[in-house]
Amino acid sequence: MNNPFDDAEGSYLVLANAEHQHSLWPAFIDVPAGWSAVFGAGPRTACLDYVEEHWTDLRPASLVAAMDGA
Amino acid sequence: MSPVSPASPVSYAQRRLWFLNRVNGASAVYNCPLVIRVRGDLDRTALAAALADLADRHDVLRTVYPGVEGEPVPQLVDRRPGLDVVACEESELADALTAVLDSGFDLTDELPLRAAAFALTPQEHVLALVLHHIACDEGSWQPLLTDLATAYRARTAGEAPQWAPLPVSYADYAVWQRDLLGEEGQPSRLLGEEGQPSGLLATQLSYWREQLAGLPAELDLPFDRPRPAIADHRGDCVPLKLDGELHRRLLAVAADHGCTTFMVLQAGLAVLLSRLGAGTDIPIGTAVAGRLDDALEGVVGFFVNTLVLRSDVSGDPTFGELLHRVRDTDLAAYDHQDVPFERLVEELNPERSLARHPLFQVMLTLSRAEQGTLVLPGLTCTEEQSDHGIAKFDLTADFREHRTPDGEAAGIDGTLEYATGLFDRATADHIADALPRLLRQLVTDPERPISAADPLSAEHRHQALVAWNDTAAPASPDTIPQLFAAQAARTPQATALVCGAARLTFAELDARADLLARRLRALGAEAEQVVALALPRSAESVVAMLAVLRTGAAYLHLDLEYPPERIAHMLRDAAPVAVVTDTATAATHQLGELPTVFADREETPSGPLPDLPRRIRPDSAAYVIYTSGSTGRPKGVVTPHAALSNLYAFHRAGLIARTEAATADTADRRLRSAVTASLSFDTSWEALFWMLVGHELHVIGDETRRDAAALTAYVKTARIDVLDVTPTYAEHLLDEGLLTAPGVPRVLLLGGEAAGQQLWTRVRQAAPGTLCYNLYGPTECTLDALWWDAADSPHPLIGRPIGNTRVFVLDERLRPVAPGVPGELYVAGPGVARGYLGRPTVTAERFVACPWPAAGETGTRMYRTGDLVRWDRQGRLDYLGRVDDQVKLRGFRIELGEVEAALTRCPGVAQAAVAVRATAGGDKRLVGYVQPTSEEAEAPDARELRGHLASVLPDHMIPSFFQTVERLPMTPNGKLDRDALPAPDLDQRPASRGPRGPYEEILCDLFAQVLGLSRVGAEESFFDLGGHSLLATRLLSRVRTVLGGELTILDLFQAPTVAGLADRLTAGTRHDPLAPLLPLRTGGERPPLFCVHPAAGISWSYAGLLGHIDADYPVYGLQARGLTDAEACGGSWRDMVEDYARQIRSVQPEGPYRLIGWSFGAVIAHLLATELQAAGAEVDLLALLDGYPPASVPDYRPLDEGSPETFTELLDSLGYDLSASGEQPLNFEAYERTVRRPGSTLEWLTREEAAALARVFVDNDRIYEDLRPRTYEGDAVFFSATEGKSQDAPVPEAWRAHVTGRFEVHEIACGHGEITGREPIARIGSVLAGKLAVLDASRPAMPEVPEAPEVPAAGQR
Repeated sequence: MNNPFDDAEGSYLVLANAEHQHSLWPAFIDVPAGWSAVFGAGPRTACLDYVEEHWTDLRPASLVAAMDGA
Repeated sequence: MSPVSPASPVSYAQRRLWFLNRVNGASAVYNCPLVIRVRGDLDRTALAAALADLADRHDVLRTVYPGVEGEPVPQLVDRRPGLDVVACEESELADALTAVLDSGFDLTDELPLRAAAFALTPQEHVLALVLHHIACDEGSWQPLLTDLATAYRARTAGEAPQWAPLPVSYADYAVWQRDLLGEEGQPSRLLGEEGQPSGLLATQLSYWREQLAGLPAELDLPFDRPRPAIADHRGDCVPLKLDGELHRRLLAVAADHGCTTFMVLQAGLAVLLSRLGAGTDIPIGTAVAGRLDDALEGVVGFFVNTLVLRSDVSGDPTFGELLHRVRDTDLAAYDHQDVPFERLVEELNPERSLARHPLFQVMLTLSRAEQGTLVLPGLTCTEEQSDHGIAKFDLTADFREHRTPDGEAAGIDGTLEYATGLFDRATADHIADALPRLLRQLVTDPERPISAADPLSAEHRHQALVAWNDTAAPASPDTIPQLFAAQAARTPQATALVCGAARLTFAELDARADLLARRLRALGAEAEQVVALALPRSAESVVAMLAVLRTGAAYLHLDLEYPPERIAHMLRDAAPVAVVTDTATAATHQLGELPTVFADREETPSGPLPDLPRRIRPDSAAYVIYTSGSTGRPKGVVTPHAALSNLYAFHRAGLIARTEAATADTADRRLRSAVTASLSFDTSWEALFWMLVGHELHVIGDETRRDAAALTAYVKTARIDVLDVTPTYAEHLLDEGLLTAPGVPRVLLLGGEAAGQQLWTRVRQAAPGTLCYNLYGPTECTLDALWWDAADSPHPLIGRPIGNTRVFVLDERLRPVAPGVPGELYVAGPGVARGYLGRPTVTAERFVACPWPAAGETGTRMYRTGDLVRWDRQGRLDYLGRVDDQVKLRGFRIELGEVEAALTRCPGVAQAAVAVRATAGGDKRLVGYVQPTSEEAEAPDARELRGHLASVLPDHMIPSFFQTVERLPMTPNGKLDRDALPAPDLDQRPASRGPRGPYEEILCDLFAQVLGLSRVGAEESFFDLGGHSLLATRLLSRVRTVLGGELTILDLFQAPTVAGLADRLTAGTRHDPLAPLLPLRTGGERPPLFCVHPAAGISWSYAGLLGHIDADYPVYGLQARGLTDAEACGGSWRDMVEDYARQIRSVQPEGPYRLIGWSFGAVIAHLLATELQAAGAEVDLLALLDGYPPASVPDYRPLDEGSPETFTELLDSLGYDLSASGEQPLNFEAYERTVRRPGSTLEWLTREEAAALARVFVDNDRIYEDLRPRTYEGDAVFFSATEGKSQDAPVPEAWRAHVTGRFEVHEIACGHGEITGREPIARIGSVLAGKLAVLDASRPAMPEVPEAPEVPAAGQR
């Protein structure tokens, strides 16, 4: 069975949510509520490069905010 | 009786049915029934006559097919089918009909038409016509019913029917078919080896060969049950309905695309099957009339042919494109429809199976509704449903197309017939329901890709996404530190933790965790920092886990058995602020330059220690756990407190509460849960949760937890209630009696890998009082995402989501799939981890946006597990396997890619692949395939590879075997073809020396048994041969049973060879294997067995008894003194017997004595028995193995030392097969070569020892002549070797005069020298074990208890 996230030739988006969490996303599938595309559509590798560069802190944004405020 | 015509053939199709009928004549599978309700004045006499007329007109209805030389030969007979008229109540009708419709035909003698009229009232009859398919097909009904009506009309008027004779008969057709196809003669020859097909047949066959190349052997459909090995062809059906509107649209689309209605139905069915999990290459069978000439229209007979129509739905075409594909395929198929299906199957020869139909398993037919009704004058005839419970295929969609009188579409209906052996009615309903829904979507917009259509109904969609995920439950507001603090305050003095001798109360655990937490806090441990734990398994390690959580930081528990490089990687990757260790660990492990807290040192703080945070944020990290990474780098899963709290709440409210309620009567005793997993695994929490609510936690030490027998004993003696293990280990524990009373745990948790059916059944049967939960969940979902109580299903399931957790089974486009259809499992909810530490891309690939957030949430994520599962109709999940190369071995999660990456980095390796293979015993192992760097280079040595890998991979990731391959197999698109990797040749290893002495011999055998190998050398390492820790426990258990002794897992790790273990077994009492008294097994509590050597003087061969006699019986061998002391030869037999009796008493001062002797030894054993009895001792077992009193041996001739006869007889007496060696006549050198041949049990003997054996043999031969047995008071048991005996050989009866009691003889089919071979000794052992059981039934086992009263032996006079 082919997984839609593993298609090396596929077209993908990078989605992000309010917690600044990032998700790879197949371009042909509707974007789920609460997420928005921050990159793409583009090749899978380009999307992953984007994630590597822009999602540098895996902590949820609310936790970061709380810790910074603490 | 006469043949139809000279050399009249049967058609191909008839021939196949005839063979099937010969195999199973009782089967009604090929019955063609018609049931008609007839109202009015039925003239039964006329109807009976009309039936006879019908048979007159259609020869095929009065043809039988006797077999001649195994082939059917049609014969016309004079008989005519009769009409059974049976009075019958409406209420009896169904049964009466079934009896008629479900009876088979004997085609060799019985007419293929049967008719019955059930008279319900004088005015109402139900007529049942049953034809065997050999004489009819769907197209036969029209002429048959027309002719029947014509004849009936004539007969009611008192006349014979007037009809034009048929231009041809079925027999003509059969001849014509053969001519047409260009084959000559009888079908038997055609299908044999002679003659190649030619002409039309050859052309068409060649088309089908190409068209059907690579056809899937079997379509995967959403079966409710595994396919039975033999299809029972039982079936049922559900209605299919396409309304007029859909019918109209379907016709329009068909017209637009140049297709027939059938083609549109076929395309729609192909899409549906594909979406139900059948893949993209969909063969569907259909029937073609086969009446290729108008002259055949009016003939009754079997003309219909079956075609395989192969639909290619790959590449997500539009429905319009698919229709074009289907049309092209179908038209070509119709052009090649003359090859009988039977002939095609012979030609293509697909893998045959009685379980499924060849070439296709789904059938599709479409007919016009207005065909074939019976019209009888003056009567009203209505056809009744004549479903007779048969399904020839997995599924048959049988459509009937309705038209209005002016040709307008009026709907399509029909039935979906399904094999009840595979499907439930609900599933068939679902398919019948989905087909029109899907077709409607497809024909409404044929230019959309077929993937846009969804067969799932709104109801099923809601069910899968919402109803089955309705798991909302109160979350635990508290984090683990709060929960523990609260419990410590409630029960400070109760025992919280037991680890070996260490016991900590809640107050103590609390205080120690508090102090350690403050010390860590001083080193910078706080939220979102990591603290590494490098501690041996101990109470301290639990203290440290709690302490780190209290600081707000996350712990990383290092497995100290991991190679240094892997530990170093984790420390680099996780960058902890501090490490907790102890003095010993710090001295042996490299833990970097981290601030260190020694758990075993009382360090006085330099100042006041900092306070701990009052509150831990639920979204902050609790721990980091490293899992195997497919790209070669382990990755750390970061799990927040909230995830752990959610699982805690689920268990607290469910399993824990349930167990507490069940033990309410013993409420004073708190429950005990045991941690058996490594503390570096998250599964340890499974046991820890119980402590958080006040129960007692037992941390089981390494030696005990890895040894199934020791762990089982611990569970029972420590009265453990809760145990969490992998299914593989559970099997071992059950073998050790875990679920056998007394001391059965109340809760058994299975997890870490898929549970097999065998274990499932055992657990369900073994302990009805034990709750057994199967728990599923990757580390990324915090231990458990799904759970199931084994009591609730007879087969293994992973069940339903835990509280607040939602699971989705999705297809390749992230759409939910229907029950029964395999899909990939995605998990959402609070248990989903934060991601992989410092690895944003891998995290973004696996933790993805969730399209179905829980109520009131948006922007949540789900984890894609890579696990293949399917829903059942009750909303429970069934685990099917992996979608990728991750494997589970004994609960360890392994990415094959990581092992491959490490293997490829080894010197001398160009490329590598790793696969999981099962051994003969079913044990799963990792096998490494290595392609060397250049062809000249020597294949890398397995030991070296193992050494390299051990420096980077943990034990469980190191392949058990390595196999060199010239080139790794690749798939057409250049990927590694794992399935094409050869099975490893496990016996292809460098030779190792054979066993020395009986211990080694037994151990070699046990190693081989446990490892599933044919032989094992004495110096081969258990672990090099694929042994792993679980097999190790099995080996130790076998060794204890067979040899006694107390070898531990540690012994095996330190001395993993047969030679090494044998040394340890005999440690302190190093035995010379040729010593006069050879302890084969010591340590039992029962009276020992003493075994007297045969003439060769050596007693090792008795070792084979050990595996069959309870380990409680010590076993000693008596061996000739001459083996070690040349001076000892030449004595008298009286000296020998006295010497042996002395040695026996040195081991066992008082009786009862048990004596066994083989050959010469049998006579000595008998003499010993009488000697001991004469001294007043009791002897209660005397077993003689094919040895006879000398007086009974005719023409006895003494042996000469060094003579060829001596060596021949000696080798023969030891069971050597001399015919195989070809060494005749024997001199000493040849004898020595034979004895010391590699692999022989005596291989290790020195030349001098081999010579001593020969010397002793001749000396015993001399003694033998003088032996004079006396009379033994009691019973004796004799084992007689029956093979290769000469006419005048001595007989067991020769002993009768020397035994007062019962003399029991067992015959064993083997030669004299072979009686201690594996199988004979097994029989002897089991007989003796039975005798011992009777003897000792009322005898206490402990020797210090005063002697029990003598048990009279059966038959004693």
